[in-house]
Amino acid sequence: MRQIAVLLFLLSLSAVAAPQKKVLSPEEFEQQRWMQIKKLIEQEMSTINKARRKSVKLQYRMFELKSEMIKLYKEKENKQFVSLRQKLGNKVSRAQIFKKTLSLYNDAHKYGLALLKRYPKTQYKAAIYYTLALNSRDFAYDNKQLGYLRLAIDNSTGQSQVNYLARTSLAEYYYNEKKWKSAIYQYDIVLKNQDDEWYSKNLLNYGWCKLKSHDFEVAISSLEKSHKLSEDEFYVDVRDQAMTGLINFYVYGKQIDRGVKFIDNNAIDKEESLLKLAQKASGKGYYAETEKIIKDLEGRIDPIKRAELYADLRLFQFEVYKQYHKTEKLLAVTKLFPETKFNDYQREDAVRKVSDLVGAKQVILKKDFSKHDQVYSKSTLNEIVTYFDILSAVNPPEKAQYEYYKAETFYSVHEFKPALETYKVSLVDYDKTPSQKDLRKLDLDAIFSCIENIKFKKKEKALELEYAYTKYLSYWPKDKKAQSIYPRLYALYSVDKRFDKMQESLDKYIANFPEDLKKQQDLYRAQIDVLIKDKETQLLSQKITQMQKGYLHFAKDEVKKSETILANILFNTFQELNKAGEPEKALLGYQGVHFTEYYPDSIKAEAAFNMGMIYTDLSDNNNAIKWYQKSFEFYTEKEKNEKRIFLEKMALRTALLHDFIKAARLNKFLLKNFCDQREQNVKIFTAAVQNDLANDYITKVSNTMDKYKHCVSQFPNSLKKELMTHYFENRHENTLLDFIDEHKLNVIFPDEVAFYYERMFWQYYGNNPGWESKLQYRLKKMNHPKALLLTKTLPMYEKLQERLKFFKRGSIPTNGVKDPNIFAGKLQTRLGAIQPILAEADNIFAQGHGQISVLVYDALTDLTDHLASEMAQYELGIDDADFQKQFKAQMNSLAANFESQRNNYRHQAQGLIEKYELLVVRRNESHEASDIIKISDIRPESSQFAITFGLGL
Amino acid sequence: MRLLLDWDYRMKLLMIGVIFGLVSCASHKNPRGIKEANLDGLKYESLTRYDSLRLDPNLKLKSELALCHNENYDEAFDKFKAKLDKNLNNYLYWNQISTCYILKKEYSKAKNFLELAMAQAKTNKQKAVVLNNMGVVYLEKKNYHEAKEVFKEAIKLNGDTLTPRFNLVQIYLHFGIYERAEKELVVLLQKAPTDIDFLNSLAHVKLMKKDYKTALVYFNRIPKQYRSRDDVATNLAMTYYMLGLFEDAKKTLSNADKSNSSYVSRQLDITKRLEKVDGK
Repeated sequence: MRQIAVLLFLLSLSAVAAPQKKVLSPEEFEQQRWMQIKKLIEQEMSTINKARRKSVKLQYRMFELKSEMIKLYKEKENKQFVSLRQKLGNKVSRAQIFKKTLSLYNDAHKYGLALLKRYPKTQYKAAIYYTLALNSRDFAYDNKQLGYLRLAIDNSTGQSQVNYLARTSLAEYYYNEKKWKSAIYQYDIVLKNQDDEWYSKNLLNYGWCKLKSHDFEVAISSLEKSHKLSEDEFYVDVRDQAMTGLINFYVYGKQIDRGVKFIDNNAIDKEESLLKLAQKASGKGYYAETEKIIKDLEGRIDPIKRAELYADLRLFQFEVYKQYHKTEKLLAVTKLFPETKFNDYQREDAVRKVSDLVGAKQVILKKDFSKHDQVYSKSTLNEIVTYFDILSAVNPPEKAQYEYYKAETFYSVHEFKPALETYKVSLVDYDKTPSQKDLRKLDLDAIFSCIENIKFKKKEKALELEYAYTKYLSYWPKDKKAQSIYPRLYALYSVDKRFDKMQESLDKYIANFPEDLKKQQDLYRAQIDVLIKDKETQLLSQKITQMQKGYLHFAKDEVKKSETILANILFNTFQELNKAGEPEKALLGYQGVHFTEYYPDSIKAEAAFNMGMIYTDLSDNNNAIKWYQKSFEFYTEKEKNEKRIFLEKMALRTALLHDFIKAARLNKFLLKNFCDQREQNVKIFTAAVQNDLANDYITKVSNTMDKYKHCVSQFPNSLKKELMTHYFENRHENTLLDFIDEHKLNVIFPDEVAFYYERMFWQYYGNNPGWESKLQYRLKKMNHPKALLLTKTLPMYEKLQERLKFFKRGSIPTNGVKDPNIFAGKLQTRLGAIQPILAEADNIFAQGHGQISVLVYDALTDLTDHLASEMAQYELGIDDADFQKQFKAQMNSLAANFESQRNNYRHQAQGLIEKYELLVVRRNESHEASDIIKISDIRPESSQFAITFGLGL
Repeated sequence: MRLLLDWDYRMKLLMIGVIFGLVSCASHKNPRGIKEANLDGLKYESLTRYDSLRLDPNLKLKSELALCHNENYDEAFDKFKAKLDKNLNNYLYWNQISTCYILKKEYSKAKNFLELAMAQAKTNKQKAVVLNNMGVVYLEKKNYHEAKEVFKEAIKLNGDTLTPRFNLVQIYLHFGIYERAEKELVVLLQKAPTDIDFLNSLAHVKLMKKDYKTALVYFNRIPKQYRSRDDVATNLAMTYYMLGLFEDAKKTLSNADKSNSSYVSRQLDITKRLEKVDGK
């Protein structure tokens, strides 16, 4: 049967191997092999079935093939069974899975029985029973094995192969059924046949049967023989089983030394076998023998080449020393664990062993600890610590856990300080390599508890709390406890003024609890307060910059308040320097602040502005304006507007302090920077112009107007009038005329313009024809009553002048005149010609123009004076003394009349001037004191005698 | 005895006048200074005619106004500036500053501060003070019309003040409005009968109105030591000349101050006439 199976297997191999091109997976190969065998069986069955007359031999062959087919399906269905069993467990029913096997079994079983029935005396009878027995044993488990084996033995001779095989199977059956005596009986027969390769196996089974019968000597001998025979290739090698058995047998048989010797001489792996022997011996209480073997093995097992066995030895030693309470040895061998190369299983075992041990020790330590007087076994504590250290070394992934347990051990005996440190180590280890169990909360709770229990100095406690808080927040930044930890951590940092940490913790608090805004604002304020108190300006400025950027949504007022405080701190020193008369140093200080990047813009601006103010005080206008301008680059619009008010006041004050140039520059600075505030600028524009006027800088005034007039909503008429007046009063005549033209002031202020034109006209009248005609033209164009009066009356006066000039030239030539009547006639004509002139003069007087009237009086005074002289000068060449006397008297009388008239004109002119208080600039002959003035013009220059009224009332 | 007013001498006179004019500026000598307070009818209103001795106590007190009259403008202005905050609403403070600028001949600035003074002046008397100084600014810039108006306004607001009335007289005198000048001078002399300038002005009026004898009466009321003052001496010399008192005229001219070039020039004019009389 076995030969057939081997044949079929070989065939299947060759069939599979021949056409193979592609490499098959093991499953595919196995499947192909199975199919091939099945095919071969089926082909052979088919061949037998095709035979018309089937002999007993062929039918017996058919029975064998059916049995082979059962085996083939058993193999297949067993795989399915194992697979399903793995998936579904015990729910899987054998009957369901082995359906085909059982079906084929039943078919073969029926076929075999039928064959026996058909051929009761056939030579294959014993073989058929034997096959039926094996089929029952291997495929059906229907307890028919024993019966069929007995029938096979009964129907075969003692020398036959079937008989031997059936008896061996029967011995094995009894062996398996633990029917030791029956088994020994069958083996005693079977073992007579040493020509069986299974003889070694049979000896092994026989030895076990003898052991069970307490026949240790035979048992040991059988197994030793089995072991030795196994070395022979003829026999099946059962040395492993034999050695396993022997190890037990030597111990049970109290022949440990024999065992050591046998092992040393025969064992394949002597050290392993010896270790097993020691293990068995130890288990049975043979400590001395065990220790002896251990000592032997310690020197024999190479820890590197036989690492696994070496590890087994150490683990075994641990067990032995623990079992036999060899404490020191136990600790010593455990200390070797970290250097021992355990495989996974061994490591797990080692960990479990040590854990159990240390756990027990912890219980003992705690149980013995007296809370009252704090007494405990320090050696036990040290041992526990050592064991945990060993565990950490053996099982590094769980180091965090062992540290935690270690810390717990310290804590249990109130050694809070080492406990605290160890909990911290546990956390560190957990962070590096998390243990299976999440220890973080346990560790941190314990740490908080330790901190509470340890009497720390304040600073030490703060450090520990910082560690604990920080750790906690790193793990659970958003849980409920964290919400209360953030402020506490912040407070811790606050005590030491660790501002960077304060900020960091606050930032995290904000990120995780945005709903705590008010609390966070309070914390930030507290920080600001400390910075202010300590005058930490750099940091304070950073904080304020943060606030400005919207950090924690502080109200603008509050931000501004902080800025002001910072500015006060920063600037206080500089202000003192300035007050102490060291403005240069103050300027340097402000400059430093202004150019420091980290200060908020408002501070930079304020520094620049303060510099501007110092430069203003130093009368350094250029720098003052430069720095005001720089400040405006940093101020917000609102701040600029606030500064505008200040600068307006400053400009005003500067003007009040007589520095009109500086004041004007400040005004213009405001106009430039607030050009769009056109309504408000009217006042500043006016001030700028007025300040320039105060210095009589009319070019600057013009520039100011040109440059900034687009920055005002209107150019006030009052200012125009002021400018016009200024130009006039200060003799800026060209500018005045341009200004009048540009702003059409002749329309807005016609009275004033006409007045100014006329005054200028009289100033230039007769001495500057260009200006004279220019002004006359303007007066004519004005169409103003006063202007028209001048332009109308002036030609009349000039015409009169022409007539008088002509008249004055018409004196009577007297040379050769001998007839007084002729002279008298001519004189009458000449004097008669005066009347129309006087009428013309009267006409001019009637116009009512003061200055021209005075000029007419001048002309008439001159005329009468001329006529008086003319009359006095007339002489006639008549040689008659009486005539001459009479003629002279008459001429003198006429002259006197004219002189009287002249004086009369002077009085009239004076009367006119007095009456109207005329301030005429053109007055000569008609002046009452013209005689004196002709000698020397002693009229006082008014300004020379003008007296200021300084003392007041 | 005829004075030796030859050409060389006249040139020297002219030169001395010019030099004196320069020196007087440098030494702050007040050519119109009056030593005796009783001869200064405006002594309660103005320091203009205080001589150095009368000005001295005020200078010692560091009076800003006295400093300005002594031409110590910088010191005066520093003191004014230091007092700014306490005096923002004090018309007199602003008025005094403007007075200093008038003395310094910075009239635009003076006017600027006068406007501030006027804004702070509450009573008519105070306004009259400010208007007077405004008039002075106008006068200095030869804006006679405006000056006349403000002096008249000042007098109208406070008829008791003398300075604006005196200043108005100067305009009248300049423009030959003698009746009005005389009328005002009568008022002034009633209040200060010994004031040198009042007397000189009225004497000038009388001179110009050809009432030489009366003019001489008023000149004679001027203490002798002031008759040599350039303006007084010029007027007096002219009066003597017009009265035909040529020797007195010459003597007067000989004793006259030569500190002001314009008066030196006028004196030369009279001298020329006198030389003509002498037939030279």
